[in-house]
Amino acid sequence: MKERLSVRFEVPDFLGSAPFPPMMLQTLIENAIKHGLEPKIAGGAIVVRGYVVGSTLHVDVCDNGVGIDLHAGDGIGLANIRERLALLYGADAELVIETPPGGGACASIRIPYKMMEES
Amino acid sequence: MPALDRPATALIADDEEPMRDQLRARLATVWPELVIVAEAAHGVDAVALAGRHKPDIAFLDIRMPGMGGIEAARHLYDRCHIVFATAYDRYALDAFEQGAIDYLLKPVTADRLATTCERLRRRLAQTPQDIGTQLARLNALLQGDAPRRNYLRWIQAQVGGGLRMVNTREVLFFQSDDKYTRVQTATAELLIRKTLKELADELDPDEFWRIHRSTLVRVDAIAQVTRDLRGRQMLKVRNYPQELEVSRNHAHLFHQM
Repeated sequence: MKERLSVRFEVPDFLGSAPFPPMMLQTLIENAIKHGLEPKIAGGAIVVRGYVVGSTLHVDVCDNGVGIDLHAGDGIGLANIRERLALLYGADAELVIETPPGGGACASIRIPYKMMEES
Repeated sequence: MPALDRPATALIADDEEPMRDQLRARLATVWPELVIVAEAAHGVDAVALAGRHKPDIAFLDIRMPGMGGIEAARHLYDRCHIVFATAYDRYALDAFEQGAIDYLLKPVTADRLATTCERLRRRLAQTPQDIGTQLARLNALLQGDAPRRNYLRWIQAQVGGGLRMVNTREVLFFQSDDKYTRVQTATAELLIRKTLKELADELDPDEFWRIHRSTLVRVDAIAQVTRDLRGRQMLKVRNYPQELEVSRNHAHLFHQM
């Protein structure tokens, strides 16, 4: 798989220290590889993007794989993330899954973002 | 296939290059005369290369992108001897034990490979066995944990320029509006064009219940059912303020114990 996979991070420096719940990114990247890219002969790319919209931190994991099989279960991975987000942030966080017009799949975790947390 | 008066030939198919390297190296030790005539990274390639090189043996990884090993074997088994390489666990391996199908558990140990090669040497003098039926059964076993997997699990809703994917686990209920069907989750309300009838046909009937002509509710999301002053059954959904009416036709779902 390694030679068929490229991963790119687009996260601005100032977000490097922003708090983010552990293990969620792992799950999303694993999903992108397992369901999106592994079935694809040519392999593909994963892009991880971090950015702030208003007071919300978005962390997106997008792949250009085969997309989402409408009949394949959610597995425990995504359900787990949703549950943990609800526990940590209540209704202020969400996990949004989208399939862009160009194909592939995008999973986006959105959590509250406070600027200048330390000071 | 007549007894061979030339060195035996083999093809190796695995999507992981290190796995191919390892198998080739181990084979060189336990069966030095065996000539590896081709290597493939997926099933489509394996079938094409086998057509060109006509190997006596094909070592096929089960899980490969595009076309997996079992599918490839279905194209090849009347032309060469098949050995599967698999990382499946013990439980799934029982499926292999039942047939004449030969397999290697990854990572491949020298001992296990020696046994397999010994068996292959004996078999090379014979025509490959007809394993078509076993392959079909194996395929079914490894594919399907259950028939459930054919139910609709994702709802697609147009949002802005993209398609929002809502997993059925997120849905609290579906309710038909005039032209649209409303999809209610704990955090969002979306509209889709699929009708309630279509949804009822495609969704897992154990996951969603029809409680009204215009309402499908997720069974896990039901908090309680009470009777209002007019005697109607009203259903309360977890984490959601609105109550849903249960029609008389569906009241039997909630009979008191």
